[in-house]
Amino acid sequence: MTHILLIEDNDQTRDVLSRRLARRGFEVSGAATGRTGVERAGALRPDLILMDVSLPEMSGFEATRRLKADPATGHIPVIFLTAHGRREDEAEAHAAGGDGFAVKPVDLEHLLLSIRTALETHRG
Amino acid sequence: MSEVINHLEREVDATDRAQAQAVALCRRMAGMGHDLKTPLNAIMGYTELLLEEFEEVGAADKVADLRKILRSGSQLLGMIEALVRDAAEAAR
Repeated sequence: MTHILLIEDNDQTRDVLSRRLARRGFEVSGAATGRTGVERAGALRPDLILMDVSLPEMSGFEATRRLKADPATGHIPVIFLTAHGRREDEAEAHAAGGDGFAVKPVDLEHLLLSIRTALETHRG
Repeated sequence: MSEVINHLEREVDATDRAQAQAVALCRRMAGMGHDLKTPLNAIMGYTELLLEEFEEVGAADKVADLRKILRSGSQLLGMIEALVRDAAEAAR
């Protein structure tokens, strides 16, 4: 089963997206801050990370830079989630090492396609 | 003559203050996009979750009502995005 770590500070957003992904056959773990997200990614080694951009303690961009710099987690694809569709966010997501970018509210079919593409790219 | 000049200066000051207040208001509105969209994301997300569950059990009446909530949510989202975009442009 594909394991996704969802790093999102809003409890309801994290809960509902976790449940919708679980219904599609994914195992989903959660973290509510950038710092705990980095820690959990190191401990759980998920197949993919969904990373909110605006997070307390450490932004999603910074958390991703740290994950990508760590040989233990650098291979894990990261898809950013953001409430904004700003071009500068998309550029920074790419610069931080992100493998995808989705705007909230999430279109689940579109997100599933991004997840599959990121997984195939990293496995290929 | 000096009375007229003083009056004009007061008018200019008042206009400057009003413009500064308008810019500050637009900036606040532009910054509120995230706060407004977060609860709406939850409303739409839970609605879609319920929609998937009711579709599975064939509860057509519930599905129809949930689709109405989603349509209204999408309309509201469009309005928030337009408001935030207009406010950001006005603030510039």
